[in-house]
Amino acid sequence: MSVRPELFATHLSIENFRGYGRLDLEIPPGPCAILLSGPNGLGKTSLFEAIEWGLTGTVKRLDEVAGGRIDARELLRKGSGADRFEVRLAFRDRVGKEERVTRTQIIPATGAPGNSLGTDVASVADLLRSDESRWSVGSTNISDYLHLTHLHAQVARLRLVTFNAKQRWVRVSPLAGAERFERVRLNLTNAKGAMSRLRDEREKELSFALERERTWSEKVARFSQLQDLRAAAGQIISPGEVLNRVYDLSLRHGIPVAGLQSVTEVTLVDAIGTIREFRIALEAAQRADQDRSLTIQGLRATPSQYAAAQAERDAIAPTIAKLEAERTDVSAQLQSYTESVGRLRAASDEAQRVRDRASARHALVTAAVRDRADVRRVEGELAEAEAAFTAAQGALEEADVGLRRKREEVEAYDARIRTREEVRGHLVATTAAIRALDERGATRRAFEAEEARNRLLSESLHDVQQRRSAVATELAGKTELLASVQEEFASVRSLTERLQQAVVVVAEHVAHEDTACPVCRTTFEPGRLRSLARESLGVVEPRIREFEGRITALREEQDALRKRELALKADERKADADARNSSESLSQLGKRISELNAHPLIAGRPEPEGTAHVTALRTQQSGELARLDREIAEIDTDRLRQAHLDLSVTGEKLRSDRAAAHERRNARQTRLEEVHARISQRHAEQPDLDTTEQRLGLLLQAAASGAALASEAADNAAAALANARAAEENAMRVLATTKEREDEALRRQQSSAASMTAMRERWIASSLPEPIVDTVLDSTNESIAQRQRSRDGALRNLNELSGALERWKGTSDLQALDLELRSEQGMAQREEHTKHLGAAVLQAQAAFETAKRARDASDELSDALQRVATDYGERALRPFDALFRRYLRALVHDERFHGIQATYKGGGARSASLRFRVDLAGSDTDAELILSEGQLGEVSLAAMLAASATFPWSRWRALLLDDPTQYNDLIHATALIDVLRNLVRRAGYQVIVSTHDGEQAAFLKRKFDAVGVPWIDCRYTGLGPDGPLISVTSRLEQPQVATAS
Amino acid sequence: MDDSLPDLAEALEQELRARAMLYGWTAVTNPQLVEAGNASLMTLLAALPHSTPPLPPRPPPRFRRAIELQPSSLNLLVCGLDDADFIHSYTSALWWTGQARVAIPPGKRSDLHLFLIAPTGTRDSPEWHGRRSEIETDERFCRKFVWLPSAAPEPAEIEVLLDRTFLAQPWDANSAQPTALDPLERLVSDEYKGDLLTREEARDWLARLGTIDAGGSPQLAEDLVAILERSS
Repeated sequence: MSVRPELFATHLSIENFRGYGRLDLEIPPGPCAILLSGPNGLGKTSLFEAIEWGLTGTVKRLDEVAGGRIDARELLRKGSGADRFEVRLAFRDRVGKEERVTRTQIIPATGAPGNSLGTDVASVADLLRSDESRWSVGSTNISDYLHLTHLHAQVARLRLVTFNAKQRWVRVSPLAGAERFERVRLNLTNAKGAMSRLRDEREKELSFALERERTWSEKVARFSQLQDLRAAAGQIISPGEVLNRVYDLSLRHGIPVAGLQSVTEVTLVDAIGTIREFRIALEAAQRADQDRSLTIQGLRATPSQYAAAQAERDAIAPTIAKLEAERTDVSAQLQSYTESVGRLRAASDEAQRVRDRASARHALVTAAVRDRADVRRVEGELAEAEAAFTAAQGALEEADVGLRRKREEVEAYDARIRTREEVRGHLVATTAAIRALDERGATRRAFEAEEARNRLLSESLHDVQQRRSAVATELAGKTELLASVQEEFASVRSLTERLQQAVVVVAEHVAHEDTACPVCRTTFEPGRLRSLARESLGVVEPRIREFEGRITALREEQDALRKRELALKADERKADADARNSSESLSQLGKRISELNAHPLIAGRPEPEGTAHVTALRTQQSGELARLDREIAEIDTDRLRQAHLDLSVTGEKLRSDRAAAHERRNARQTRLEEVHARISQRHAEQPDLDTTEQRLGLLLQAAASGAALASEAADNAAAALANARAAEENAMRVLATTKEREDEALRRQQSSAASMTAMRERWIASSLPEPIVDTVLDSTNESIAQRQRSRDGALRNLNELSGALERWKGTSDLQALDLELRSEQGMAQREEHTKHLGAAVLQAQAAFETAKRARDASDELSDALQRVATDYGERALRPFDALFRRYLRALVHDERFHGIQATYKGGGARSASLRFRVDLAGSDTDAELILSEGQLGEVSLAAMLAASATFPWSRWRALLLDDPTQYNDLIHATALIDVLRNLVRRAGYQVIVSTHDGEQAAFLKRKFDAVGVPWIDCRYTGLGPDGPLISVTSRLEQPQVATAS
Repeated sequence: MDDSLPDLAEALEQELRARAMLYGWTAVTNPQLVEAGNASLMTLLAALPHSTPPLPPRPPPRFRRAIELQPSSLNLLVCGLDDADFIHSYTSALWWTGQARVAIPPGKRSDLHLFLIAPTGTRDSPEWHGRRSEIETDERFCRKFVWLPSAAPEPAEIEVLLDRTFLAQPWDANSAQPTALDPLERLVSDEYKGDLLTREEARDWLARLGTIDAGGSPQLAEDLVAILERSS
């Protein structure tokens, strides 16, 4: 899909809108500035409102003043008598495609006006919407969008969308639709409470419907029951009789019922109550017997367990006595083992000490023998190392001599190479000098040629200036002549016209027979006067045409002279530029010649001496270079360098060998000294070791034997000690085992006794007599079973009495109940009524569920709005804030306020709105409390310009600014104007800006002129019968400005 | 005079030239303005606003530059301020600016701008901040900008300075991420993913909630529930 190009307004037409009768304003189709200047009250603001109304069908300021949508009749020009007003806007895109927006409002003679006619707002939104923009907009809030990025109203509270007038500066929102967004959030919050109440009401309605259904069901069931009773046949017993029978049962079963004897006049309620009480008492007695039976059941195993525990306790006592005796024996044995171990440990320790001393003596003698052997071996190695070092020294000296000779040869070769490079360098310098000489000659020639050209150009410039002066003089003469001719023509024409009028009068009033002139009273022959008048008519016209012809010719001559003067001016500028260029070239050439003259080889040597000197120098240097080349070529450099390299390597190896031999010799020497030192030290410690080698051998044998004997004795002592320890440990293990067995027997005995005590306590607690045997349990169980069977019979009797009593009651109430239920509405058609109530329940159920879903959905929607607000803050407001602060820097002079931030609360109730805050002296303060009205105006403008750049939703990039600098000083007004003209030049905006200050209007035009911004000035001069009187001037061609890259 | 003044002026001039290129202008030295100084005191006083006090004659600043941005009518003057004798250095600059202004043809005087360079290390000086504020609000002759360089001036400081001048270009909004301008439209179009409302129900709800005259909370709640009843 092709992208639609950007749009420019080209025409604005207003008819009978507000103060305007008729206005047609042509706008250049491109970036430009349109200036509306003039005193207050002449219609500047109305022009902005006309554009707003034309595009959106509303005027936001007037809507707010009216407290809603303004009556269209208020927009019609007062006193015009018209039945409609209209605004038309024409646009053209970059490729020339025309678009039009027309809006007409018809005002009927009677009744309220209808909707405006023409282009609908959705089409306007579609026309303006940019395809390229990433900021999609809908048509719902086109007015908000325009106020966000295009329209800056004069009234402060309308500068951006605000929440209320009081906070107009504190919290402004740059977001088209944010007001609606906040309204949705607020309404949703308010609706939540109402929805909760609605849900609760519907829940009550549902409960009510369910209750009605339940009550109805109960009544129907009761009615059926009564019918069943009526049909039932059976014994009917009166309450008094029932009471007597219950009394008998009470006596028979020994269960007293409170108040049974005190009843004198028996009622149905008394009888039912007595039955209920007796039944409760009877059932309680049954439950008590059941519990007792269960308890006895639980004690069924107790007699046998008790007998077993008693037998076990009695059997363990002899075992315990036997184990106690065994333990006493083993303790005595252990005491004797422990004493033996102590004695053997002392003997073993002594044997160990003897073995250590013998081993030390053996090791000492062994070391002395080894030292003697080391001395002999190291002395031999030292003699070998001495010989090797002497040989390496000789070889190295021989190699050094050869290496020195080769090094001298290589150095001689390198010296030749360096000399050759020096000669080459001299030769290059000499060649450069020759080139410089050539260039100096050529430059000098060029200088002379340019000098001649410069003279010619100066003459040419002078000539052109002379000619232009002559033409200017001639033009002045012609202008003067034209003025005199025009003056003459004016007087002639005046006279001629008067004459012509007279002649016409004469011609019209003089008849053929008249002889006296009515003008001069001269008498003529009959017919002569009339013919003279007619002739005069013919004479005047050619004379006037003649004058006009002369004037036309003079004007043409004047134009031709002006054109010639212009052409000569162009020639003069060109000649002047050529002369300047030529002078510049001359200067550069002269400078180059001076530079060349400063060359060291030719400085101070004029031609041809300089050339001869340098040429001779080059010949000499070339010969020297050739000689060196030959000498170097004769040397076999590869072989020379290889030999030098080989000798160097050999020398290094020999040097390394010598160092190694020297090191070995030193090491042997050191080793020998160490061995001698060790022998001396040992001799000092053990004087008897310093003997001959034979004596050392005998000492070594004796030490070895002593060490072996001591070792054997120590081993034997250790073995005896180990055996004694094993016997002791075995006795300890036996003692421990015996003790454990004894403890276990005691525990079992105590456990049996405790078990018997517990069983006896449980038996007695169950009210059972001792002894603890099975026969006691059996007899108790039997008596309980007999009582239960008897009470079961009593319960059956009681049920029969209740049934009889119920029947007695049914027969007495039957008539009354039948009457009551049959009077119930719908009982006759109770099936239909039941269905009807069921349907009502279903309906109430559905209504409740919908209300509940709505309430839950409101929470869900709140969460979704919250998420959108948070995300929107990040995506829309953060870039806006960055740009806003850049605009602040450019617009607000005072740097203390550059820290104003457009902040927003992520996720808060006002997350889609802005607060302008100032960080001043370390404290965070509302901008409203700090800034002046003028500064707040700058903040507002910065916010709008930032919004325009941040949200480029429209392909009509325009700013409509109604008196934006009304509160500003010169510095701040200048800053704004600088930004605006840059927006026109660099960002392609169309700017419509108004001011009531005439001096500022002139200043604006000068500022626009300074950078070549095309402008139209609509100067409001007063009010006429058709509305504002506007004088339009423009400067649309700005040739001095280059196209910005 | 601060020894680093020529270097700072050179750096500023380079950045000015680069910015001017963006507008299609070429910066050339204007020797006529550098040497301006023949206007009489009376001529100069006539160029001042009526309320300003007379300016005593001063020699022009020793270091000064004048640049013309061609082919526009913009003239820029550059000179330094002295810490030791601040008043003298500023009045000298002002005197020279007045002379230069008189030398410019009357129709082109609206775009004369004076750049004043303070000594290095004054960026964080409260005293110099006060001086800067005083100078930049001075309406005599032309608009003025004061650069307070740090101890080791960086090109970014010049960027910040020029962002406050007629060469600012605060309209680049490339960092903005795309989204709908109307957050509600976004919500209805692609953001609402709730379990309890269908997208159509959500749209109807938002339309009802967005009406200016909600008609009271009970009525609003009734209407919202009615939307769900109709849809089901």
